[in-house]
Amino acid sequence: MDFEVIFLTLKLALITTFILLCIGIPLAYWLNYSSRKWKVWVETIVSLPIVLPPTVLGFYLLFFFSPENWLGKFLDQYLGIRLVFTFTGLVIGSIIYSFPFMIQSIRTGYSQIPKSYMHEALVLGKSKWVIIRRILLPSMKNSLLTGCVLTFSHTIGEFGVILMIGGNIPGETRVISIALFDEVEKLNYHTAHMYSACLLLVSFIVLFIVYSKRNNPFRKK
Amino acid sequence: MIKIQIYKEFFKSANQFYIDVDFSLKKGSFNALFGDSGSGKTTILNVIAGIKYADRGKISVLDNVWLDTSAHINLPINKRKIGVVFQNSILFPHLTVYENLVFSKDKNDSLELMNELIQLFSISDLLRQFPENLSGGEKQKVAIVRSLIRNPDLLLLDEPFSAVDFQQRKELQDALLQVHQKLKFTALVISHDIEEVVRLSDNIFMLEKGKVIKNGPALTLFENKEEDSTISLTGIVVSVEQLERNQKIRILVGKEIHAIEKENSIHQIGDRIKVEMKKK
Repeated sequence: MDFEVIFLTLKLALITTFILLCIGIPLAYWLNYSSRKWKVWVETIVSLPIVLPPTVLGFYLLFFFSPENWLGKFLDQYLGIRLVFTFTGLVIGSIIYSFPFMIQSIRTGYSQIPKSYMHEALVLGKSKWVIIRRILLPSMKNSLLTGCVLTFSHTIGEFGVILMIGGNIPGETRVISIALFDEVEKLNYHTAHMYSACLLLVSFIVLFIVYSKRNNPFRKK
Repeated sequence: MIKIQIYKEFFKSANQFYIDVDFSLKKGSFNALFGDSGSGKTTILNVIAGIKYADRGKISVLDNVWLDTSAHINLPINKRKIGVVFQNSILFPHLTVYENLVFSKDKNDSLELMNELIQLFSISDLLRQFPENLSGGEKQKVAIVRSLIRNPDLLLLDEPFSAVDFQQRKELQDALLQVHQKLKFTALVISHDIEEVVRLSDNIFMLEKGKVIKNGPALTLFENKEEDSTISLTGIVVSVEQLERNQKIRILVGKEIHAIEKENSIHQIGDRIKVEMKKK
């Protein structure tokens, strides 16, 4: 078993989770509290990866990020960023693929907080950012945790998008799910079992931590 | 001086209501908006606080304009130097009482004022508690302290003591009056409880169907116009002493307690009775 594959997978999942958390907190706030008419467009686009087959998403990302396309060409020539068959491309693909899982979880958290919290804090003269940081986020720890866990585990098990945009380059884009597929194709079942067990174990541990945190009646609020 | 002009139309249970008020509050005065449920009290408070919009109106507080619909000025809630105590104020449940108080304090606000308010409202024993361990009255006490820490230009109180029992209500009202004497902030309490508004305020605005129909101090507002020399006021019985034939009753009228003796009466504490008083 190649430990570099495991390291790369965890690195991808952690970076994706962190970036999505940073994007998700303000975006989910806006989606929950805004009354703009065009909000429905953003909601639809954000939720698309839930219903879209990963290969379709991967195909479009490959198409747009390819140096043959205007976007890929622009990124490559003017910014020196190549997204096809690179780790950076994998991160972007994973972020888009896991977007709805993080956003919906955080949005659920915001929606469960009574509006009166917001009014109480606003009449105390606090800015919206201070209210988010000091009042709203600490009141929705479970939703944040759920969003992070879903994103992390979703990224670890991702296959279609990664295969399309990243291929199978050792040390660069070869993550566990790709390595597992590769080993099965080579009929190397022993290593395939090791990768599978590794995915199973990580998923189990992560979910166990979430549920033990949620169900512990003695935890401090 | 605080000037408030509000015009607002709104629907409630498919019925159209409107609010059309124009009144002023003197700096440092304790005022009340008194009216039945549905007279528009809470809507007026929400517009003053910036939680709801007015169709037309102007609110100026001291030298600052908070709302002027003709000039498209509508200061955001958090920019209005205001204190609001809601009927069931929310203390943030993940913060202790002390942390709740500190949260409301700005960098420039004085720590001395906070400590003084903690003493005046006797909440020093509660500072380490989480809100879930406090009674309704204690929560309202903390909410009042929290709203005063910023030394607001206007303190709004929305039926602040309706959820607490009679004894606690009296204590809270006393504490609030004591602090008002000391700090001289401008306050507007809304209530449908005549005893509360008479006890707390210097000036009462009587609201009916969204309009102020009369205003003035309690003793002139509730007067019986047919009698020139006496006025008829509603008081609340605060103590009853049973004598041989009579009852000696102490009644709270306005901010004063009066003792009377009544023959063959069967009054109990909390009863509301009419009292004829000589005009001052």
